[in-house]
Amino acid sequence: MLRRAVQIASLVAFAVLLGAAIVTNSDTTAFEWVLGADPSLSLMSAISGRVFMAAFIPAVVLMALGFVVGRGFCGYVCPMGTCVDGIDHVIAAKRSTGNRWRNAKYVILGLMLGAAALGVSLVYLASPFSLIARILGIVVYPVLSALTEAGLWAVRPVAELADWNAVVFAKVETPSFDTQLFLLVFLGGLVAAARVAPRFWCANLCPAGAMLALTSWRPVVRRRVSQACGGCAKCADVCPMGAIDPDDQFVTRHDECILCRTCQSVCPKGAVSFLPSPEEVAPPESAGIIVGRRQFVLGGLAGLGTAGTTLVKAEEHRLRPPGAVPEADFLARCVRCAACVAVCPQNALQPLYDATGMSGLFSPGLVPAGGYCDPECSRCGAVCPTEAIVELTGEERLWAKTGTAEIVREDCLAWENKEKCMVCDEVCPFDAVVFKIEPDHPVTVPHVEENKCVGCGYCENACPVKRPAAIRVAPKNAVRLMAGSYVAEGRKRGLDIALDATPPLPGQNGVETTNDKSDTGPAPGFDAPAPGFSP
Amino acid sequence: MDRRKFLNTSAKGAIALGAGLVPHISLAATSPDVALVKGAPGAAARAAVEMIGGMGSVVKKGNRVVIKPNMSFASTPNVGANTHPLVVQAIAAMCWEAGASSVLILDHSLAPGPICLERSGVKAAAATVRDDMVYMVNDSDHYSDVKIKDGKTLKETEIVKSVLRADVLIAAPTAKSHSGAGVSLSLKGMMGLIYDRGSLHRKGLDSCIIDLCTVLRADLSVIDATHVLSTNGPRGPGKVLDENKVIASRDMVAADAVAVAEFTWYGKKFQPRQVAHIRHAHERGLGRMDIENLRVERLVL
Repeated sequence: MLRRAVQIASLVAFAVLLGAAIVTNSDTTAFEWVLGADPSLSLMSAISGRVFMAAFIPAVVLMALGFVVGRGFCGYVCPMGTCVDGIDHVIAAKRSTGNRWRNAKYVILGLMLGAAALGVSLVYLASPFSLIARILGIVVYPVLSALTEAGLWAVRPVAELADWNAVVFAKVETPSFDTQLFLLVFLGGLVAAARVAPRFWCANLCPAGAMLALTSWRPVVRRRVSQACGGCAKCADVCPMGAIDPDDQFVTRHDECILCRTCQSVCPKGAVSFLPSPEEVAPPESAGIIVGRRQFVLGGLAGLGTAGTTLVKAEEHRLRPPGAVPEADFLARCVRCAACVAVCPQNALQPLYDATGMSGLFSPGLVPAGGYCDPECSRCGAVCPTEAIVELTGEERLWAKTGTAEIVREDCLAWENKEKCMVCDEVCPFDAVVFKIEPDHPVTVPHVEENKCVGCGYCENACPVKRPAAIRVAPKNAVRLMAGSYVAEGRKRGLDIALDATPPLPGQNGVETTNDKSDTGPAPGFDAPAPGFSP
Repeated sequence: MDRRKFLNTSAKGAIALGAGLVPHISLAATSPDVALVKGAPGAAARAAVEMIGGMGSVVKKGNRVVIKPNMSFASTPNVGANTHPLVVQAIAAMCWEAGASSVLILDHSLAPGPICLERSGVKAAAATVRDDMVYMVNDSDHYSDVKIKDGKTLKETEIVKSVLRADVLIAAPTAKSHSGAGVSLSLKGMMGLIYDRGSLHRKGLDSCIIDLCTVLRADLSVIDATHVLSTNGPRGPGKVLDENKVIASRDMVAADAVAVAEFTWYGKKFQPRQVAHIRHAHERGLGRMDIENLRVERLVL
């Protein structure tokens, strides 16, 4: 069936675009534009972020298309709709009992709008593309990855015997993500809703569907019924959206119709068409659309209230990805699609439950305990559809300071246990950890040179003291800009950021490369000469 | 191109081997304990190994070999944190020439593996010999638990499986200082073949290194001292001494001891005994640090 084919192709395309962003370094513009096609996601982001982006254009086009094809998008393209159809296919309600809560979606839309008006983004609650991107990135991707890993594990014994080194050492890293529970609960909800009515989500809850409904009240392509209709009401019975009046099947709620044409296929008289037909009977005048205006206003007030509760400025106590715009703008822009989290090659980003209160729910944070932030990588910025994280390159990227490492001396092996440990220094790409000899201390101990530290978290990640590490990155002195240069801002703040293993230029490799500080001091790790022993 | 280079390298190797073979037969019994050769990295590595009896005395036909260089820092050879790629290339080529059935070049990095492999130059250099030798083993799947019978502090640890399967283990470290262990050479380098290095730092580094080396006792040490990282190791950047030397020995303690004594560290000269883990290794019979009583032969190419 054509519709099924289009639906599956669309879902696969969505998944492939996200998958390509995860496993390759390819351009992500297409994915960003696809995400922007969700009208609720784009509208809320535009309002809460006070910004219009090119990636929002598809949503505008889609809304305009409502005048032509109504909510055909919901029936044919939306990957969430496809998932709902899939679930319905397996465990559908026996019959459509109508979707009586259809105005609830206007409450949700109003809630999101009200919050957005005060600069708080609630896109994460219900925008279908945010949800579906998260389901694919946070739940499906790790599962697929784990399956691949298991496959490799299964063939490894054979590969070892055959000395297929490339297979033996092939590496698939299954990431672990937080907030999967929320998504699983959401999916559980979708399944439960399928028992109540088909397309329950789309008809009753989806804010994108609510927005599309606004331009779909009388589209060019719409359900039309001819004189041949015998009034059997089979169509009303099978309509997944409950868009057909069971008492008068000439009446269609076009704002609810997703053009699935199920009614057409079941009609014993062939009375249903979707293009203008000479036999069509005009529906009675009363059949206008009734947008849930009251619910919409109610939702709006609730949204304002919700946003109001989050206006108390919460302290930034979590690290953000490099290139994240200032916290307030960041939260207003971030749609919680978690694409950044999924694409991070080091699994260093996590959707957070506890970032900045309710307004920060599911927003991405840098968690060095799980992975370090590669100072030359800006994949999270590249994939971000709303520029909540800006893609940075070269020096600008290096200088995008996410925080500052701090040594917790009472946990540190060198400070507290007097062990010869220098792992933090060994891994620091910026030479920001310096081991010094302290009086009355048998081993050298680490110090952080804060102006050199970018908060990448290599040290925290590698610290042999675990949970929590003895060196931890705090958001202290993070540089976050809406515009302008990270290098210029960093210099102004007295930062001195440079990768310390930058290869010297050709010809610099003289007899002695003296970019070193301590040639005359004591030699760390060597014993002092024995008494009477002359070296 | 690769194949041609390979054949070329093999041919050169064969000639070198052939040239070395004759004296060995007669002088095998009198091979020096340690060879110290000054010259270009690849040639010096070859010459040094030839002097102590040739790769044929270490690698037998059909042997599985693991080479452990330093390649776990994302820096170029001149920083001195990684083994010079041409030294690794020469060692690997010699192993194949000696009839090895498998040669793997392995390390366990803290920094991202692919970047280290690329920037160290080891992967590209080794690929001219064979393209399936160099791997960064950062996955716990590749390790299996080993009891350390003679361990005093470290009683068990997880070691790379391929190393446990190997017949021959070759240490191929770069000569560098180490802020915790004084120097990082053949002995310290074996920490690159275990999974959990952190606990060694917790338990006491010097003692653990030696415990580990009782099970990871290299059959051959080839220390690359092309760019000696004399200060600020193991990562650098620090003062780099361009010594252009390679040290080879069947005794990893002796090789390390010669490297300590040969170069200046933090601007000073040290005796091997001043490096705690080398002293422990000597005391526990893992090898000899008393280089004054060993035959150290020098050659300038």
